Amino acid sequence: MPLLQAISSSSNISTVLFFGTLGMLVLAIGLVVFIVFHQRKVIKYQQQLQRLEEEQQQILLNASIRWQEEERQRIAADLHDDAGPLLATARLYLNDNLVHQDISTQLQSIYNAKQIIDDTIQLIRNISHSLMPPTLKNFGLESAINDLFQKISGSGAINASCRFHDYRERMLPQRELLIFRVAQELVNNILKHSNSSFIHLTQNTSDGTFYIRLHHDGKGITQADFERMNKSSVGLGLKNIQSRMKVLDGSVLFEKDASQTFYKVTLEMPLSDTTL
Amino acid sequence: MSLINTYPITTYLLYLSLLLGFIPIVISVLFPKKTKNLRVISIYLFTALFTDLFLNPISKVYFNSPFIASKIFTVIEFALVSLYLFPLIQLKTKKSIFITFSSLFVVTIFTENILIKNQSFDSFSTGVSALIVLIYSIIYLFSKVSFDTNPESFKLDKTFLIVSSILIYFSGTFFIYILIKNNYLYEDFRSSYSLINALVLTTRNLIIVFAFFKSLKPSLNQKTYISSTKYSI
Repeated sequence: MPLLQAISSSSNISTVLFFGTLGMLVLAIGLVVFIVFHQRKVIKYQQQLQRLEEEQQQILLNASIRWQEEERQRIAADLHDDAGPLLATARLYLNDNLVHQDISTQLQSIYNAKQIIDDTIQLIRNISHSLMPPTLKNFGLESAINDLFQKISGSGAINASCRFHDYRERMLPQRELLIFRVAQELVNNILKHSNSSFIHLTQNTSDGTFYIRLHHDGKGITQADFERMNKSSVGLGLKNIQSRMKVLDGSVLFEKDASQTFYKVTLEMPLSDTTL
Repeated sequence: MSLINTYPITTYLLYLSLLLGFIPIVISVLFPKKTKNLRVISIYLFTALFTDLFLNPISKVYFNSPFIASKIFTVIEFALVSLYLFPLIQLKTKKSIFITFSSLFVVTIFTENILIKNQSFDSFSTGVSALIVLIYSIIYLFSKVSFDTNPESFKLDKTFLIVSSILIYFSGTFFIYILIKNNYLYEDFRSSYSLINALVLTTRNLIIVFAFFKSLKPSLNQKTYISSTKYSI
């Protein structure tokens, strides 16, 4: 057999040995090098991902701080611009000269001061309610959202309706407040920017997940718009929605309805959360 | 493994490999706790050195054949390397893989030494053993790439180094061991055999020494992910 003869000759054996060993070593070293490079790539990718996540967290944190500051400024402005002058006026009615005036003037001044103090009480109540709606605290999320939608609908500017299909047991108060704030922010955005003629909110649960869906027929945004605005410095309200949903361990999805007529926003979160 | 050589560099490489082979054993004796996970490898190196330095000469003198020692070493080598690689592989089917391959190896050893009564070098068993170990190493490396997503484990760790050294050693010696049986009489072959063996052995021991030194620095692994990236591959 010529092949066997060829192989059995000494130099050919050495060639087979040399190339065989070389081939095996190249494969083995190639494999090790491939894994080393692959791992480097993975590390680089993970670091990039971590950096992006940190940046996103930073944006959300900044948005949250800005929102808090704006809220404080708003409360300060309400107290300074509205409650301050009202109380100052009431004080004017009840000044030192009041005792020297005739009884009818005294009664009129007291009546006016009382009116102003009542207005101030109402104003402070409104500020307090805007911080923590009493309906939410006392009757829960369903009542608070119903109340909000009734007020919007009552203004006559837009047709607002809501329906809770499956909300038998109340969630933790902090959780309810967060969901309410997200819904409130979404409704505010729709009222401010969408120019829609109706808003409809529905709630339901499925497989341990709590859903809230908002439909409107105005100008809305899609998920891509939402993500773009989240990464930019604009859209403070949207960033707050994002950070609140993160606390709720949930997600928000902006999309155009399949019919391409309505915009839809879906809030999705686990029904029970041990963190809240 | 033989000390026969014709290239001058082979002698130096063999001595270097012997020296390098001793280092992990010494480290393992001096720092038993830190090298606990590499104990099997130090036993393996010790067995290899013991076979080269003592068993081969004894086998030559008492049995008039150096192959008795090499046959014993083939079995011990396969057992120890498999023992090291078994816990590393994270596959659901690893038990059945190991049982199948171990049975195949046992059958090969039995056939070559008991049924055929091969009196020369056990090329067939060594080849099968090398192939099985190469498969184990490749499975480990690919499972590391495919399933391991923890960035902390994506470092040039001691396990990766040891498995790489095993992969390089068994790849490098595969052809010389399967061709040795019928070609040991050729001078050219013997020279090439000695040189390749010495080269691969030195490389393996060098990587193992590096892995043992790495195992002495546990503080590096305790650092945070960001700060540890400078030690990563």
